[in-house]
Amino acid sequence: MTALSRALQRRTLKWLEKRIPASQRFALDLKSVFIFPSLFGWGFIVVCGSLFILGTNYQNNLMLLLCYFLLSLMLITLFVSYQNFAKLHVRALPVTPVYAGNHASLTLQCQQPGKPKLSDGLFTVTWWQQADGITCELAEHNGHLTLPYFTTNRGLYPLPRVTLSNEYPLGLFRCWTHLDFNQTLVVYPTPIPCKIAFQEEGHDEGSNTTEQAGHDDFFALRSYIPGEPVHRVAWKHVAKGGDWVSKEFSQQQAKMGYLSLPATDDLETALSKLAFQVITLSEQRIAFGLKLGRQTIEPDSGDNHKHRCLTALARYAPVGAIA
Amino acid sequence: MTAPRLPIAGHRASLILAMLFFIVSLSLYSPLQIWVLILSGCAALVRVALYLGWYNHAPSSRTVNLLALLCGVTLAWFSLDLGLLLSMINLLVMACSLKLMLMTRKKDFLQMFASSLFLIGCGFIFSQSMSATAFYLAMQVGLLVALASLFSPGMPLLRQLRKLGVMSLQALPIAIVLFLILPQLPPLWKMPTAKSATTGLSDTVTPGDIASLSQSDELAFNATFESALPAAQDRYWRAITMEHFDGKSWSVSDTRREIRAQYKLFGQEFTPQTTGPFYDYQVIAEATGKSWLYGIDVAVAHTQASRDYIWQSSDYQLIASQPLMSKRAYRLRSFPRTPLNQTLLNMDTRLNLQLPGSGNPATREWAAELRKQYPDDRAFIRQVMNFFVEQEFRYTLNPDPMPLNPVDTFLFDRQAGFCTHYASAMAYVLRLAGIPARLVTGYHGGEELKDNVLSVRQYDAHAWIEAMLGEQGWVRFDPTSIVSPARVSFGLQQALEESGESLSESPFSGLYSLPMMDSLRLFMANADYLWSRWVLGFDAASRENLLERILGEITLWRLTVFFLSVVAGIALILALYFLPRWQANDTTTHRKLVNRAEKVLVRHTGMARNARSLREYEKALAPHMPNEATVALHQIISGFETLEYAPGRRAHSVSDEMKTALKTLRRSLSGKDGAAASKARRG
Repeated sequence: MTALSRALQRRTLKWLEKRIPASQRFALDLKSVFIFPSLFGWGFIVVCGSLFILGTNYQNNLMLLLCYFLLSLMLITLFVSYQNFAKLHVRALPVTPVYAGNHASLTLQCQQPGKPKLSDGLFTVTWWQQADGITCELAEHNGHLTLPYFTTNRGLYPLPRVTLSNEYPLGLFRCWTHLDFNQTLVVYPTPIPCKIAFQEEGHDEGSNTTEQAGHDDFFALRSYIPGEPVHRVAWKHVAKGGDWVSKEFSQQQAKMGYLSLPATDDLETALSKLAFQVITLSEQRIAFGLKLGRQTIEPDSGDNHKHRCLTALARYAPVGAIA
Repeated sequence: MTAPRLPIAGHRASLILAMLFFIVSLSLYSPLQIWVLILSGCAALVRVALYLGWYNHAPSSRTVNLLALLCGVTLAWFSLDLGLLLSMINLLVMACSLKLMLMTRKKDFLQMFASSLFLIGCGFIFSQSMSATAFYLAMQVGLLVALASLFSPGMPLLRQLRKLGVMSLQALPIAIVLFLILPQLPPLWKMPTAKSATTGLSDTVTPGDIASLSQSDELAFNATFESALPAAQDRYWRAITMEHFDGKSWSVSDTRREIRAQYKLFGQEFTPQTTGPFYDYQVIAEATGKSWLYGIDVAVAHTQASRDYIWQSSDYQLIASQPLMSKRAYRLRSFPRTPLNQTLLNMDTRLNLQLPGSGNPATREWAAELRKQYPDDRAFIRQVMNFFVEQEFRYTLNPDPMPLNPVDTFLFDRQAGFCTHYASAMAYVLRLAGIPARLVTGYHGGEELKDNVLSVRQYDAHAWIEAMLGEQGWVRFDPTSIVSPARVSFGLQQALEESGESLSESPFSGLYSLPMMDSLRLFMANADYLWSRWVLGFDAASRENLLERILGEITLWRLTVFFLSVVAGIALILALYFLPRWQANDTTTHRKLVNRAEKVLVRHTGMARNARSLREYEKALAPHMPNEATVALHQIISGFETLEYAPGRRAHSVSDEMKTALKTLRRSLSGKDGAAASKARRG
């Protein structure tokens, strides 16, 4: 049964791939919008049917008129519902990497510049085939919808299709679409605090390790970049009503060296520890490189370098394990 | 899908729904039990309390279940008296009230909405007047607003109303087209009906009682004739035949009821053989709560729908398949020359010679004596009629009560009364003389609302007799017409004026005599008539007429084409509603203005913009234009940039400025300077 439904899902996804190809932005149209009477819509039809029977049996023209009016209204609703939904222009903002166990969030911008009119009604946004999602009106958040994605393991995850649905204006019809925003989420290993196993350049391998005490010099405040560790936010500043800012630290060190993956059975823990070291060293502005199996990242420092290293950790697969 | 919970406090949609439900139940006060009404009031109160945040939790389902059990038992107890229809409506309102208290989920809300919608439909069983329709229409709109609030809670109420209004207006023409052309089916099965208060004629007639019926000016029915109206003195609307007399009251004979029941049991119906001239008409009867219908002389149902609805009894009485709970239209064909001699005359004779055992001794004596003198039936009847004239009987609506031996008292003592006194006395005398006779009640006359429309009111109620004269069968005699010819020729009002009485003694009677009030009354009557005729009375026959008027002769091919074109028409309506908006939005005002400015510039300077940006174009143009035009163009371009890239609150005033600048540009370019500039350019 599950095999059958899985095969069915694969077929559906393939069909969707053809019908609504992946893209960063979508302008909805006849091809990408699905519309069908909701459960309540069918119920509404049943009520109209009962009114028709009642009106016929009592030969009551007003009941019949009421019945026809409701049916015509439903017909009108079909178009209003579609029009409202097809007004939508959706663009996905780039998704920021997270550490495993945290939740990533995909932010959709549902407003086309130059067109101030937003679609009305409650929107439900879920991941493909997931029951739980968020429900809100576009006007509440200036056309921004943020959908959380929960992660458990490190790795590279192509984000599944996002299902957007709306039942405006009377809930008789459900308009929905499944959009693939072509986004890949990088989930870094969860950092596990440990000692820094830092091999300085020029020294023999494994001979010398430097211990880095956690005492940092406060350097400056700069505006918060989404995705940064929360513990670096200057909460005192935020609490006073200011913008979100991060504390920046400096370490007057100019050491150079490599982090490398130790030979161990517990690969995941080792990677997590490495992640912690990468973060710590970056915070201390120490230039470092990373040796992961066959891959080597040359020593460097800065945010970009940190993310490069963490991404390498996220996607690392031991040579034997791939097969 | 899990059913999402609704917010409780401050949830607008729930509150609107609760209020509307309560108002709709209030409007159904007559079919509803008082405790059910109170229950719905309580439910509405619970919602108000929840909305205002007095309570944070809806009542627990255990409490409500207990209440439901209690209510269910009570309703079951009362349902024996109520009958099926009223029980069902009470049950629906009761269940909705309980659900309303428990309403916490979206699913509950939608169920409540559907039930309320159905309740509105049920409301039309009990009232179909114009005002009721307007009221239920408002309720309908309110319900839709509540529903829309559920699906777009953030939208302001006014905007919601406007959007719904637009949608409803769009839906209305389609609904009307559907109503006009979709065939109306005959009733699929017999529906339960309600017992309720009855108005109009009554089952029994007791001439000794005071007259109350004639005082009412309520409408009994409207009749629309397809040809000229019958003459005033021929408008005898038969309703009930009464064949049992107990000395005081006339009533429908039990034997007659049994005969009808047997006929119905065997699925038979009396169908009179009709001969002679005829005329067709549609009657729109007001609700009476009873099942008798009105027809002139020998009347048969004219259309299939009416045939299904009307059952003819062997005393030529028309009986509806269910009591008239609301206005009801039916079509008849009357044959004024057809004799009423096709029924089992033996049976009728036996039934209509029935006499009370005792009472009215003077009448008995007098009748026996008179019969000796006039053994011929016709001569005897003529003599009885003469008696009323010779003795100078008086027509009055306020006769003295005659509790003992009423016929004696009336004939020999008071000698004043109204139609039932005369009819009752005469029928009794004829029976005493061995002539089968029965009392017929119904209406006589009617006010001409229009050329071919009669409007018959309760004060037109009348009673007359039918006597059986051998082969001729039942023949109508109206003793009242002998005593007060005006009653029959000109109606009650005239008859009363002659006898110095007035119709109604209400304090408003003076008001009605004002000309403005009278015309208002006439207007209302007319509006009500039109409403009844075209909305309530629109039936299969009207639909056929309409189709015939549109198509000429109805053939299958024409009908197919017609229906297809209706479908195409509806599609066209929809396209009209929705298509243009998909494109019109693209060109906003400021873009249009720039395009217009460009056209003006090209015409006057001969320089096309090509692929240049607006600023470059402006620079290129500047040397060839008068100063004024350059300034105006600059204003237009900066306005465009503002609106295109940084629209703000001042959008309106900016586009207004652009419009003025465009005007200036046009004026300055088309002036002398502009012409010179363009000449210079070409030269």
